[in-house]
Amino acid sequence: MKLIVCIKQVPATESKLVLTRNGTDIERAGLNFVMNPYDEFAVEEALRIKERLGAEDVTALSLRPHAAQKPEEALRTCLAMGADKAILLSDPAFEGGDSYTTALVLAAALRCLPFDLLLFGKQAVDDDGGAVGIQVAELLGLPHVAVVNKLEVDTQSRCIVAHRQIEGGVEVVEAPLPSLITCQKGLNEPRYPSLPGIMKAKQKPLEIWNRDRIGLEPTAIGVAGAKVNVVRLESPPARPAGRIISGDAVAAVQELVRLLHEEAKVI
Amino acid sequence: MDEDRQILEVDILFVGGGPANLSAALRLTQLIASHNGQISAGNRSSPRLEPRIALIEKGHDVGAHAISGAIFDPIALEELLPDYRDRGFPFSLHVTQHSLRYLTTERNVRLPNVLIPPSYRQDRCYLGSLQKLNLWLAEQVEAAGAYLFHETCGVRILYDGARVCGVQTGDKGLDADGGRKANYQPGTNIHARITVFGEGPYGTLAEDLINRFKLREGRDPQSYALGVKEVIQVKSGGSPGLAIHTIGYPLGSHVFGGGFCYGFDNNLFAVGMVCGLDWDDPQMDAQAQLQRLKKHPFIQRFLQGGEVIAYGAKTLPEGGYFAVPRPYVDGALLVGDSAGLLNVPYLKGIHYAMKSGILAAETMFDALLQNDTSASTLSSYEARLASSYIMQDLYHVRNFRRAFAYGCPPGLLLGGLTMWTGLGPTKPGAVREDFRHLRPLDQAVRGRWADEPAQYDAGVLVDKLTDVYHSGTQHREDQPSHIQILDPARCVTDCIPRFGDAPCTYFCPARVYELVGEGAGRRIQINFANCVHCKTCVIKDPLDVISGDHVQNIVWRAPAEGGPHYQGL
Repeated sequence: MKLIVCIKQVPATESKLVLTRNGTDIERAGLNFVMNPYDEFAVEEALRIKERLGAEDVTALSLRPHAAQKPEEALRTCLAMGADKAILLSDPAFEGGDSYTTALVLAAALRCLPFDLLLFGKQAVDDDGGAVGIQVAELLGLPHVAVVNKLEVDTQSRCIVAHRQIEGGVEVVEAPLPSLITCQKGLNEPRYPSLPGIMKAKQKPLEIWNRDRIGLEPTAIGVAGAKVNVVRLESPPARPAGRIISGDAVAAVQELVRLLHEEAKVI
Repeated sequence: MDEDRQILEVDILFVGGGPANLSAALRLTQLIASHNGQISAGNRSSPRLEPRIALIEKGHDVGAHAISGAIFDPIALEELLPDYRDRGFPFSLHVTQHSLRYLTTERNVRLPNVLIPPSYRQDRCYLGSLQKLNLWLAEQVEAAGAYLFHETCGVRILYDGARVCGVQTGDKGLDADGGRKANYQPGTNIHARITVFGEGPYGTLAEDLINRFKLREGRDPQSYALGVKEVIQVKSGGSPGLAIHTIGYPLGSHVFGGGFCYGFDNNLFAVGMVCGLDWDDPQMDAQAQLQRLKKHPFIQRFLQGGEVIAYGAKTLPEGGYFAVPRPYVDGALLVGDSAGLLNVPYLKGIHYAMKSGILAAETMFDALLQNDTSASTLSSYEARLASSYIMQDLYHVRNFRRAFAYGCPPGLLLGGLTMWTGLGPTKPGAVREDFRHLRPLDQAVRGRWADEPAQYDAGVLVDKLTDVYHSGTQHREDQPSHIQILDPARCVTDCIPRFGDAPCTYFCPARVYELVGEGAGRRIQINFANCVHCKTCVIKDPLDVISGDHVQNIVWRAPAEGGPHYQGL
């Protein structure tokens, strides 16, 4: 059984984001990047399946979305956690696309690789699109289960049983292999890379694949192929300073109620 | 519990990813490469050296916990990498306009440059961020074949008898009570022939080592300062190359220290204050003083309409020559700030950190050649330091900081004099630990503005919690607290009555300590998730004074996970 995890590198959540001059992207130089937290669940789940079922290998796959980013670092983290191999899709033609072109490139790469199960995070925490995994499934004609928080793999009958948290209950979905899942918090607790794991990761293969390797027309991908045109990004409005209502408790509560009603207009 | 620990065997282990250890690792790989090259060429017959070199850093990367001004003197870098400019060195901006100003509440007086000895002028220096320097040095070190382990914190020194034989790294995946979560990962015992402690000022393990081996015996206790710094983005009107140092306002006459304002490219300014931790005022708050400094007309005009985008705080060792501990024991060395190597009047320590790293590397190279890592071989490190410009400079200015024990105006006169002449006492003595200087509120010497609350405008003037947000600090809310108050009752029964307020709620630049509750329910709450790892609390914790014994009430141990995430500091 072969498993492939697709991961994205995103700005660390505490990053202070600055917009580019034209206001359609963020400045990436100098930002701290980390692996998308939902993708960590996907990596951990793949490693657990491998450990549990003795799967053959786990490959981590990522795409460089911008020249200033180094997804190699996130891929090395996957290798340090225990993945066997990593592939980075890197080509100027891939850069500046949207979720659709990202899915196109990933799908093209995945057609070159054998796999039984594909794992994605349910969404990336930077643009919160949540579309790439599902689009890859569509492009590859695979069954997919989204937002999975429990997974069983049956190698005998070659199927998965995936649990999804839904309003008021749990939905249990069965799908044949090969298939694709997107992972939700609660699926597992991602492990920390061990020091020996980090040392071993240096010796593991990290391949860089460009456009020629996967054979795609430059007009179909990157900026040229994008279906979504970002018109403008805006920072949320700065939060106004808080107010402290002083005085004795009874009067203060009355004043608070008055302000909530008359000024904030929330009650 | 120990049976499931993995063991990692290395030859050289560096604890802390700052300029001292990164320089040491790089120099060591250079010396080894040259040695092995000589053997390959048939010019040398001794065996090849192939030591395994590892470096651990508790931050997300080697820049995440790095903070400095920084005006960078390249003297040690020129020695380490003569071609540094061709290797993508991250700094290009030089100091072009330097001035030292004395501030009163409204005015400023420029102190003439001729008062500053030529070797203390800043004009050959770069302006830059220590974070970027560290990240760049780390690239060179990794390319040379050393292993760098990020987010890996040394929590305990491992001994083989009296010899240091490595460190244990922290257990990850613990819950608030220390129980194991599903992803519990026990720390690793890293065994090494030589362990180098470059943890910055007041390193958790470096201080353990210093105390265990009494490495400060016969020397002064270390004196520290607290530095707080913000990076401010203005819309236009940057002043790249500007470097202003200030003394006077907003610090009272009994606080040693001053402010700085440096101009960078892209309309960025770095503004900060460095305050000697021997202050007496229990309500002294360096972060609030920084807000006052920014409101001073002379500084304000640079920052108009600006916005704080980064914040950090860190202590600095200021004790100088007489407070440098013995820097070696069997199997271990101390480098950089952990060894107290910082030049106070020159306002710099990065070049000393790097130079001490170079000297440590030379010492370790000899030890590897002789296959002897005992104290007798490693002692040559102290001799190397003594004959280097580090200890020679420090000897010359050994009395500068001590002159300020007489208050600020006489200190300036005396201190300035010692900078020129190198005169004054030649022996350690009479320096008290910083925590002993705290006095009750009604006896402390305070600036007359000290009772006016600092003002905030949510742009360039920000409150402490906003600054904490800008430090990017994060600790899991469900991880064990790395800060303990051993006897919380004494905070309320001893400390507050004695000082007239709770000093920890002021001296902490990240609002970790908060006085909550009323009447009999009053207590100090520890918001450990705010911590920026500056070490002020363990240095300034005053309860020692009351009890007379040397048991501190605040215990700060480096946590296995978390910490600030500095950007551009």
